Amino acid sequence: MAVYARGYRPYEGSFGGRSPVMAIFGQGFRNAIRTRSFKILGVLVLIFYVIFTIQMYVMLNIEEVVSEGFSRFANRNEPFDFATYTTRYLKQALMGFYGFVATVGALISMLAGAGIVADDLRTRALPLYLVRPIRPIEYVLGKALVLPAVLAIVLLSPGLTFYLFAGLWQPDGTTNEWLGNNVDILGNVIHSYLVASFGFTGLMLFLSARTPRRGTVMAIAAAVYFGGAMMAGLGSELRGVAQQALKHVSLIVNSVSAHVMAEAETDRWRNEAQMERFREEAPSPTIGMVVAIAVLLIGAYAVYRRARSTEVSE
Amino acid sequence: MSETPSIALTNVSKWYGEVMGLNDVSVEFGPGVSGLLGPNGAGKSTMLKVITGMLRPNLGTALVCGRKPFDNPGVMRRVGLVPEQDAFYPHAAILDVITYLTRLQGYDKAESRRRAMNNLERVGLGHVMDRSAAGFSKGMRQRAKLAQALAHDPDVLVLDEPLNGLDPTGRREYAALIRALGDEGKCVLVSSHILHEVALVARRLVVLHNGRVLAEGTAREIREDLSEYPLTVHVQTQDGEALAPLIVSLEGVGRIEHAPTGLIVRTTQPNRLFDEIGAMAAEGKVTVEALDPVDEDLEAVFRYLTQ
Repeated sequence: MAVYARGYRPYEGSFGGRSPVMAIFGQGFRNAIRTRSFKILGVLVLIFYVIFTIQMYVMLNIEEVVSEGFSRFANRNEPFDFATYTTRYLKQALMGFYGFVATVGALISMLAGAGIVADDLRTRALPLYLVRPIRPIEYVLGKALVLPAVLAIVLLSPGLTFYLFAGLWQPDGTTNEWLGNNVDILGNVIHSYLVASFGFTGLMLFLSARTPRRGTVMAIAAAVYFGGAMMAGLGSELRGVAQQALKHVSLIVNSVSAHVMAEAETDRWRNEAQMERFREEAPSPTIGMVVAIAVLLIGAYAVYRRARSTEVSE
Repeated sequence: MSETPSIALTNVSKWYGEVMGLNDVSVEFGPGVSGLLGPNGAGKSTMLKVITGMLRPNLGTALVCGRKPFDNPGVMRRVGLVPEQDAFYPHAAILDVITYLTRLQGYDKAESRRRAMNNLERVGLGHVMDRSAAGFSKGMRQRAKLAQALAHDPDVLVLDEPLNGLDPTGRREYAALIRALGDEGKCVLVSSHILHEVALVARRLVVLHNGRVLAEGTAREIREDLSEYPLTVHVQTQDGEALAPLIVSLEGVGRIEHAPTGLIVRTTQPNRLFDEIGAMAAEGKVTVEALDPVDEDLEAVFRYLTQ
């Protein structure tokens, strides 16, 4: 049989082309943020954010309130310093804010991320990906970027703006100095966001790649999130290896560990012995990050296997 | 002029545990429409998955456009697949879905949208491109699947049971579209478990049974081979009483039974029956929802072929 006998022309184009990562990410992101659950929980975070911003404004700009804060310094015989006052206040405020919002972020990731791969399985769209020039790693990347982008809205941007507001509300000419001296706060915000987005994304990728049923994915994710938090609480009551292991099993608690440590070092835990005890009981931000990265890698591998072939059972 | 076939399988075997999907299959497909015929479980879907890179053969070599398709995304730039099952996000407009799928081929958004629109027009869905596929009829969904497969202008087009569930008129229109693609020089591979369906579109047929290639030839050759063997056809219609007297005198028709969903017709010339009923439906004499050979009967035909 002659291949060109009936007008067939040999393919002369490239085997390359634009990477589909951004297209996959864009589609997933649009699907995630148009869910009702994201909108409702997003509004909840927004309300919380506005309340915190107003409170922060009051705490840093209303003279009577600032004076009262300074009097606490005086009672402890500490030198009067608006920059230190701001730092302490902000660290405590971030702990309070993220203590609540990290849980909301977990809920958002659960609701918006349940279908991230499961929808492709349920609608049988996966074969349509597999017959397109997409490398499995591109599919994984496109999917893995969705939740970090969603969580950046609710977890990263508030912390960044609080940090900037605190700098802007310093006395004239000292904004840059304050921002520079308190870059650890910025680091804590980013650390907290990364631990949350890695951990939550990994969990949702893993579960979503295992079953096409969103309900099943959400139920298991809820069990992991809230069961993990309970186990971490239990772990802090124990001692030894069990304590070290259990206190790091909660993705939510791990995500706020940097803020917890920062808050502890400011006001309540000035005694070094108490601080040492606290470090034993609270999860380590470093180990929390390692756990989150491990969960992300496991989730990414589960999706990679899905994206490589329909032979997932092999 | 090259003699290289667009699809070449050489001694390909594929098994799932202890179940053989394909057993030492060697077959080639070039430009034009080819049919892959076989009963359910014959290995058709396995062969299509091997060709489209979704499965890796355990033994042998599969080449598409001269390259191994498994884990080779570059090959997929030249391949389009119409899957058997519906594969669309139910809540998005079909234009958006196909635009997105075309972007995955490496085109930018504007070009992808243009291609999606053109191909939706081509398959006759231009007037509903802003609607979701959830509200589409079976025929419209089949056309939408074809549009997504065509949007990147592939050289190799694989259609898995594309005529399933279409009414006679829709089947004819869809078949004409497939034939036109073959005439353009694309390598079009159509799978079906219904001889009449593939005979509508394909000049060359490959018959699969139990994972092996059982026969190869033109539709006419295979049809002649089967001409003595009676086939039972289920005619799904509300007009059974009006249709029965019209077809009872057709050559080859042996027995007609009334069933709750229409008529059960036994014939040695199923193609004639399909053509005549299709023509009656087109003229408006009767309304026919579907024409399908009864599966158990098709199994018997394949047993007959293996004897």
